[in-house]
Amino acid sequence: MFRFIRNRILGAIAVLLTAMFAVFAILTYIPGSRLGYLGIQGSGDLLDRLFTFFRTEPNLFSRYVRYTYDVITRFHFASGFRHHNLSAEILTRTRLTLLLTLIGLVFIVVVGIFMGTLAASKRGTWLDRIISVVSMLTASIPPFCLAIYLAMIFCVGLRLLPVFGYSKPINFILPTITISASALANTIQICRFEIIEELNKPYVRNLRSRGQKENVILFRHALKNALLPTIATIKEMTASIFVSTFIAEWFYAIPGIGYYLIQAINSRDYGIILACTMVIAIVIIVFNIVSDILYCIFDPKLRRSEMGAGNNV
Amino acid sequence: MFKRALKRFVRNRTALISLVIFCLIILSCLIFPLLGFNDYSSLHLDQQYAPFSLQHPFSTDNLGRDMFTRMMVGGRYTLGLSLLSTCLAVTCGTLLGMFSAYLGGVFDKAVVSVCEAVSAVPYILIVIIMEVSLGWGQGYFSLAVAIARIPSVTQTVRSSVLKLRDAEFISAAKVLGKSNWHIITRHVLRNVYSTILVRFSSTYAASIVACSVLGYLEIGISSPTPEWGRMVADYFHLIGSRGFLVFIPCLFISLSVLCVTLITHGLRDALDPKEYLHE
Repeated sequence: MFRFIRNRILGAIAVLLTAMFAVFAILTYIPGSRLGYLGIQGSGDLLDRLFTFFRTEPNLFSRYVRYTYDVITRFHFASGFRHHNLSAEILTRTRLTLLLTLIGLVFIVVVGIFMGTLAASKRGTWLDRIISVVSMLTASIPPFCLAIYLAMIFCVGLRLLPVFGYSKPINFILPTITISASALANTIQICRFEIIEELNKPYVRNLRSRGQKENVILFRHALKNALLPTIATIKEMTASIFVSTFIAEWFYAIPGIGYYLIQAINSRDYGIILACTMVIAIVIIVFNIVSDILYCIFDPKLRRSEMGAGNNV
Repeated sequence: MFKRALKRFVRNRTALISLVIFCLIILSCLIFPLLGFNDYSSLHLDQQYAPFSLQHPFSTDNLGRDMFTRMMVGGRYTLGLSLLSTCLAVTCGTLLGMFSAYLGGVFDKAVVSVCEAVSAVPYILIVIIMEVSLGWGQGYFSLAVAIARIPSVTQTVRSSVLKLRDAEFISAAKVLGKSNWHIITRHVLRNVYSTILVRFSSTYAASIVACSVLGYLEIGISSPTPEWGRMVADYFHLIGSRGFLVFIPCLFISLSVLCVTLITHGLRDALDPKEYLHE
């Protein structure tokens, strides 16, 4: 398993470095970009000595090396403008975005699995039908439309919740719903489907014939087996959850990284676009690796095969 | 086979109704601007927020432009551009997926890993990078949306071709000495067309969302053009006083995405009898 995790991390780093080089090259050669004028001299660090030793000229590749080296060692994002203090800005904004996304994820996992189990256990009844229809509807509404409906109902119509702001917990209710709605609906559908699949299997009939309680069958047996595919679906939706986070940030004016990125695009500030892209890519890759590792731990089949492969070699 | 699928689709009432509604939306988007009742771009500052009437079925906006005509012209942009990008994405994705599954080897591995990497990134980032590098025109915009959608199509087509690759009729065609091109176009393609059709429909729904989301975030189609998502962004400051200006484009976006999603479900049920029985 350690072998698997190590390979996964190394592969992710390789992909990240290559992709970021492509992005760096594109953003450097755009007319009006200042990234082409970045220097390669730092403050006398290791990379500086290497560059002077090899007599490196400032070109695309050496600029990229300098940029990445600065990001890794000092968390410093060069932008081509002297007055930008990008690092501090990006750190606070990323923290806010991560907070939002994590709240959304927890909401998706808890509510999604609960509602899915509820719908599956009451399948065929009106409750199941309502949950299915509502989740169908929310799954196909674009996040910003949902945000507008919510704002019209709760903020303009009923005047219950605030539209803007991010300091009090009450501010996070609407963004959380906006972020998680479509992924939550998908989770409910998948979880319901998987549990119904499990409940139709012979071992459940066997348990019932032995007089096991329905709740025990549902939670201890069916849900346990249905959990893995559900988590896999949530894992695949990470990217779309981030997209909804950006939309929620833009809508509710929460100064997270997505808001910053969209602002930067509208003002054509390529330094910020590059920095935001890099941070978002890193966050997503870390998310993916963590969820892969969790998946590997939770899936007995995968765990055994990976461990077996490791032991044999 | 096709007739039976059609029969099953027609019997599915939800899918049929949503198909009719979606066709109505498309037809009215195509026809109404041609009739020339109102102009979508001319300003009438004396007619701001006109009451709902036959002349202005959806009232007028803050600059006195007729909302109905704007919605219809905007539908051409939103639905048309997303159709263009869907066609691009499905064509490229199908070709890539089929060839990578059928040929295998290094090409397959490369395609799979690139697809995995691209699909892990939010599509907004891809579209932004593409737009920034290519330009900000409408054609480039739909190309960018298409490129963000290619990996998922490729993965679906690839996995369904992989199931076919070792089928007996493929081996038979190989033994008969048919070329790879012949086998792929005549035998493989015919067996995955239902997957591709369902995928086309679901990609279309996703592209409509992508187009309107980018319009809403003000990085898609630029302002005087009445694209639906862009209209939401333009009228958003009026949400407290003139909520219907925001509500109408939102409703149209949600309605068309919902219709396409329901059509997708209907198609999947109609074309895949096994799944149909399962439900």
